[in-house]
Amino acid sequence: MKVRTAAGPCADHQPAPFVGVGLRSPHIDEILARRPDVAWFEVHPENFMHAPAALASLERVRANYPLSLHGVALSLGSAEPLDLEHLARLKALADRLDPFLVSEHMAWSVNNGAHLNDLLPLPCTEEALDVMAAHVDQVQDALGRSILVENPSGYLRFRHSTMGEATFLAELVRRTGCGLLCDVNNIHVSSHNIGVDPVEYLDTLPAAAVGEIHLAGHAANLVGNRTILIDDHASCVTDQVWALYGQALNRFGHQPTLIEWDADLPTLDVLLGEAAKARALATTVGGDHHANAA
Amino acid sequence: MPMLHELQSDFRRFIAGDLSPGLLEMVDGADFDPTSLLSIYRNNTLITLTEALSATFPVVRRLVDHRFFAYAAHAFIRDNFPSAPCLVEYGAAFPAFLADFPPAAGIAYLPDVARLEWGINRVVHASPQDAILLASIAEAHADPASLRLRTDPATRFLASSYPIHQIWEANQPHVDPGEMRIDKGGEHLQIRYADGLLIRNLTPAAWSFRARVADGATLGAAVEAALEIDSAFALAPALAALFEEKLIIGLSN
Repeated sequence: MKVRTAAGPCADHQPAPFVGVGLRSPHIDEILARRPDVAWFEVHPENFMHAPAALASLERVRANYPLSLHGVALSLGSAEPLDLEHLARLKALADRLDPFLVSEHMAWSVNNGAHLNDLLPLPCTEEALDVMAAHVDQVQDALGRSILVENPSGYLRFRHSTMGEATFLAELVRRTGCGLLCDVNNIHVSSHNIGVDPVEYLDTLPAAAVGEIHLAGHAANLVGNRTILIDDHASCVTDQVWALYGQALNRFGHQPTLIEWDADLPTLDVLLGEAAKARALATTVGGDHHANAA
Repeated sequence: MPMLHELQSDFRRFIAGDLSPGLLEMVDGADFDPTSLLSIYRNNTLITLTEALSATFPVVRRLVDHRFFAYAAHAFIRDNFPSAPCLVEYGAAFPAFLADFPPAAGIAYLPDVARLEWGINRVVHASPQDAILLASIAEAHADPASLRLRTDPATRFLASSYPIHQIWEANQPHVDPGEMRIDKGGEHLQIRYADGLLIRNLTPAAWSFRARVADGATLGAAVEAALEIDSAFALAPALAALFEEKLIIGLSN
């Protein structure tokens, strides 16, 4: 394992901001005009790499709020080399925006040079772990900082997986010194779809590595005569996910928490309402520092 | 044990429409049919890439309606996955695909409208560049006819035998196209982004001059081509206008 300045978010030991919301372009003008009481914003860096006008707007938001870069296109889990041009663009953007967090996914999206633009599932095997660890190392070396890796939403299991997903992530942390982004909605979705035990999952993640929590809504679709939950980020957080968030706060402390909403975007006030709910819930549970540090 | 690259290649082929028995065997569906679980990923990929094409080609989508657009987009996506990670770079081949897509053959101008929208996408997302001055030509101390000018990447040139810019304007979200009549001939368009989108219809000679300059032709060759179209074409004002409009960002011998 490489030694880095911080596995978690804040290398400079500033207190991390608490509840943020995903920044989507239709809301930017309103945010600049209203300066809402939100601790931070998160964006997909890919949306700003070839968009000078959008980047200029983002820099105006950044002047007033901490920012997190949540990448979706590095394809850390692909069994082929990373796109170095994309990595260089990410580095340039991080240098320019000075985000307090940079994160990516336990997933793959590139095969034979085709970018499938989805977070596709990895088998939990030693080979996949080797691939992920090598790519996380490469990204952290390129950026000169540690990144957080997010647990995926699951719709299927691979028969040849040799370990559980949370164990896979714990081992990735041990090998690379990366941090983790714990998406509570994804754990709930995977729990329903593929039988993950959510409490055991939270308990298996190394608590000290968790530097961010995601909250989002999901949809319930009928497949045959059974429902499957789809992580579509298009609605409010459900009661079950709020309950699991409480457990995550108890285990990980008050880590920076994000309200994600990508499709069927509501008004900014709806997002702010969800953020207020997260803050209210946190007054009753969790702590300001990592609990049960593993 | 299947190797990761093999799994990922099979997965890509599945999303393109070709399910291998090997991939099916790898999936533990629990209570679900494995194919329907794999299809969740395929549907998601097709939906997000179709949305990316819709964002770049909104007028094409409006002209054919969203169901036909999704049908065409799915056919395109399966053979043309993005080759770069950022979705604003996706869709360069979509206009040519539409030109060869038999179900769209009834709308002859559709591929050129798509080319216009692709051009708009490119100029809107180009990085701003500093323009150089007309005096640079004299400072180059070379035969001006042999010079090649570099044009601002936020500028594109597109000619069509259809009035595609009028069609595009009539199909903006705030406009009621009413009964659209295509009764005018072609257009020679300059598509530019500089503090806003500006699309101009140039004379054929001026368009030819500028398009050839942008294409990397020498000034001599660009003028010759313009003179073939219009024997009264005058180089000096045409050249001065290029610089006045801040279209030129560099030159080489």
